[in-house]
This record gives sequence, C-alpha cells and structure tokens, in this order.
Amino acid sequence: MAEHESKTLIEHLKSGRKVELPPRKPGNFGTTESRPTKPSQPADKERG
Amino acid sequence: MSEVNILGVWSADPADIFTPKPVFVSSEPFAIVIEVNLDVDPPFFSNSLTATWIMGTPRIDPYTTSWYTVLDGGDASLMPTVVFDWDFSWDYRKRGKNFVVWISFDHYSDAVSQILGGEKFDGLFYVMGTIESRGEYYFGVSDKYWYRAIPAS
Repeated sequence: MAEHESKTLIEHLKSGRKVELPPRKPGNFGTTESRPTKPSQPADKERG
Repeated sequence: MSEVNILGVWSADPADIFTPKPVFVSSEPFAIVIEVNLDVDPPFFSNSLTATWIMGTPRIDPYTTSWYTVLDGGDASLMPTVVFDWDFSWDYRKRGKNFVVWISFDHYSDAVSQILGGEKFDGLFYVMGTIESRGEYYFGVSDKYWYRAIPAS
C-alpha cells in the first residue's frame, strides 16, 4: 500500500485527498479441455 | 442439469490450473478457473460464450480496512467485488462439452490493482464464476470458493 493511501474509506474521506482511480492491470485469458489425464500447459492464451 | 453447468470454480497457480490453491502471497501468480459442462445437443447451441470472474470480499464497512476505490472526480466508494469478463468461443462439437476457462495474472496484486484499503492483500476472500451463452438464454453460476490473501513481507 502506498504511503498516501488511507487504510479505511472513512480515513480517506476525512483526509480530503484527491486520489486518482487506480489503474486496472490486464489479465490473461484462456480455455482448455477439462482435467487432462496428464499435466499440460494451458492453451489458447489471449491477453485482455 | 441445465444447458450450461459450472462444475467448479477455484483459485490456482497459473502453471497448475487444475489444482485448487487457497492461499496466495500478494506477489505470487494468480488464476481463477471455471470448470464448465455443456449439456446441449447440436445444432441448437452457439459456440459463443461469455465468462465472468468475480472476486469478492464479505467485509463491507467504511470504518474498517474493507476494500474501497476512488472514482474519477475524487469520490470514493466501498468496492465489494472486482469483476472481469471475456467473450470467447468454444467449439464443443470438436473439443467436447467439458472445459475450463481461466483468467490469470503475473501477481495476485495485479488482480486487485483497482482496490484500496488496508486489507487489500490481507484477508479471506472468495471467487465466483458465471457463463452465459450469447444468442441463447442459457447460463450457469458457480458457488463461492474461498481463499486467503497474505501480504508479501
């Protein structure tokens, strides 16, 4: 947690600080057949 | 059984998505996996689906360290869920009616990057998943799977 971040919403509101909406980090998406008989790497990756 | 069934949802290490993992340090890789069964017969079902992953906290109280976020303009709000969705195709005629669909992040902290609050990386949380078919009315909803997040030291 950054030093300027309040630990509770009430603390944040009382502080009057203007903090920008924290950015969203992208995830990776994928599909694969259910429960293979031997371990395998996930397939069909896509960055989203 | 309905047309779209969610057989399970769990958090996991992205390198081992078929093994549920219930504890994550904030710096560790993180994935949420939805296991799906389609109980349908061709040709009445499209291949177009939407997966939604929901991360949630049961603690919603502005006087505690609950999850919150700050909106544009400076307004702040409690934020009990983080939601990701993905439109994808699954050709069940070729690939079968049972599959998993997952989302992963390099670090657990990336999955909750929009969240503020003292327990962002510290507490008991849950994941859920839903699947909707695009073009039909079919859908499936999971139960909650609980996990624990631990701050990196």
